Amino acid sequence: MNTAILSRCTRTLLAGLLALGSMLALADTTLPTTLNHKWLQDLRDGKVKLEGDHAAVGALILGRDIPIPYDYVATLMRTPNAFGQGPACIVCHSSGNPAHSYRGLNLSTCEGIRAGSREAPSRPIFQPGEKGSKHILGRRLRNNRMPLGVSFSISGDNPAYATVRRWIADGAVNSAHFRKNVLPLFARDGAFAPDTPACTTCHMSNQEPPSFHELDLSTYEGIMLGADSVAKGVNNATKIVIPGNPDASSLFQHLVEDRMPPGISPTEDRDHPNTRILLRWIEQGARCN
Amino acid sequence: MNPARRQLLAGALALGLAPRALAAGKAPGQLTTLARWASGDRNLVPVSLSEGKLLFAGERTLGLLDPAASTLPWQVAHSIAGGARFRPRGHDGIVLCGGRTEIAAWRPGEQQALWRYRAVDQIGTPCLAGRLACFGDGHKLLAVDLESGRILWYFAAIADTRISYAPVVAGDTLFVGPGDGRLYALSLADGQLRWHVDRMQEWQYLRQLHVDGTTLVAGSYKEKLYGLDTGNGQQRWEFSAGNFINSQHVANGLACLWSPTGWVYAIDTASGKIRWRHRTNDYRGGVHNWGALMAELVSNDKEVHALDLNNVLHVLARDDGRALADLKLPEPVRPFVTLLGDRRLICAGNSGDLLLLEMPPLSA
Repeated sequence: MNTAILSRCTRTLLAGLLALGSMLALADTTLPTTLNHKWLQDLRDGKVKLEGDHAAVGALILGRDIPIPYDYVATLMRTPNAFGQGPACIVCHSSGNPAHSYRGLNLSTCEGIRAGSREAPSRPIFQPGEKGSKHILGRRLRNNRMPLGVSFSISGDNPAYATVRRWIADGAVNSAHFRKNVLPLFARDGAFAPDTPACTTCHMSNQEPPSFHELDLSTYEGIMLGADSVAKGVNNATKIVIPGNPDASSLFQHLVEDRMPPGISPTEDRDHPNTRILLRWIEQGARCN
Repeated sequence: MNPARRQLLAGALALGLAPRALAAGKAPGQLTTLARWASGDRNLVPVSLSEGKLLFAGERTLGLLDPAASTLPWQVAHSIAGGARFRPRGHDGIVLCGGRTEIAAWRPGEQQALWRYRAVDQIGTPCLAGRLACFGDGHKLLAVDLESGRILWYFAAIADTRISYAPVVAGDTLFVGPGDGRLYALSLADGQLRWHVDRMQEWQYLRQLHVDGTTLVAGSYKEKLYGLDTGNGQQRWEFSAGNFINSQHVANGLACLWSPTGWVYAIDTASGKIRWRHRTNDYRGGVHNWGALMAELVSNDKEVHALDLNNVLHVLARDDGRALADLKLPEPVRPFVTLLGDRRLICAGNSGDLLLLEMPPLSA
């Protein structure tokens, strides 16, 4: 279901609810108990302000924690443009056989979605019941690969990426090797892909005004401090390097993980309504029925 | 055209926002260097205008620049560990300068600081309200007499959070949005809490606070810009930028920001509606893509100016966002620009030089 379909659905639903609500209002003014009655009460109380599709999804579905049925998730996986411009997920991820399906990831069944990729290193793409945005599925749908605008065709295993990966795997220490071979990568145009800006173009300091995500990639101290450090503070900043674990380090994730569907523009909304619904399904336990 | 695109197009047309291909920018013009002053300080933070002069600060020094003079009238080693992190601010002949570890005040022309305050936890960006300096130290907001450094009052937000961004003052009320999800309105006179709203789920914290009329315009951690009633904190509107909002410029009914989704937006501060937007990036390559914007946008009554990290100053019409000029800077500069009027502006080169630049005449 793409944005237009979603929009029509929510508007139709909204209109129906409003019509039904009006009838109920005439018949019963006591405190409601059903979902529809609660909606009506919120309308009466002036608690509902809807502007655009996102607001409708938030107010009607997410704000009321309506159980997301797997049927809807299955539809999303089969629908082109469900999360932004691009092919349906199951075109590339249709079975657990890595010979025919990238990463052996089967998004065509609930069990396959929950199992995750079957090709080594086999791993789940989310944890049922947890917030999904930090796990692989959420990251792939929401996070733009860096540097912003890097082409899908750029391999994530070229020497520059390998250097960063090895440095993190070896403990991310502030060594002479780091200063000579790793740190300069973040300050060099085209270091990770042709025609891309240096990382420090946007992540250079934490002064006023702050760098993007309050991130400073120009020094070892800044890298280890992490993101959002101005507002969250030093102790609570989002760590982007987990020494010894490059796959868990968002610094490395952002360098190598392409946003899905393949070729999607970085300008596409990363909080597409369908993405939010999918992540809510995961938070609710990713139930298959 | 797919349905989503059609819908977007229809919506945009209805708004008078017909999407257009990334505009073939005007051939870059050139800014002319009128004067240059060597500060000797390579990492200058944004300068600020104060009583016709410019205050500058960097890792080591604080100083004053008079655009009409050939030499710097005053420069002093500030001795602030970690260097200046905030733009220096001045009022009534006193200058405030600081970083995360320390904040201090000087009287220009003198070498010794009037007072110094060392952080108990971490100092946040200050604001000046007359002779009152207000800034966070950890979760406490301090109000300090600008001349004596005496703490007149403090307000404690929730512990374990940090007031990192500057408060803002409107009339006799001070607003601050620390990392505890709340917006506080305090009495400027004594720091007493007048009201607060708690919206942790929506914004976590508010930053870059501005007041425009009776609307408090604030960016949030979660990629939204809010318009809030200064009387009670109730939300008047919200705008979703689609990605991290670095800063927003608010002046005369307009809030302008750059979204890394590739647009400069101009938002009506009364209604929250988009007055115009200007495409800056499509991320498909090409010479017309702007560099990223980290410098705060600035404006005058006719133009909005955006300095990108490719050292190009983009000039847009304030009324409709059309491109007026792309002006190449003579050398790489720090991410800030300050307008002086008469088509002159101040930037700082990466070498530490302060540059007085002149814009060429612009065609309409």
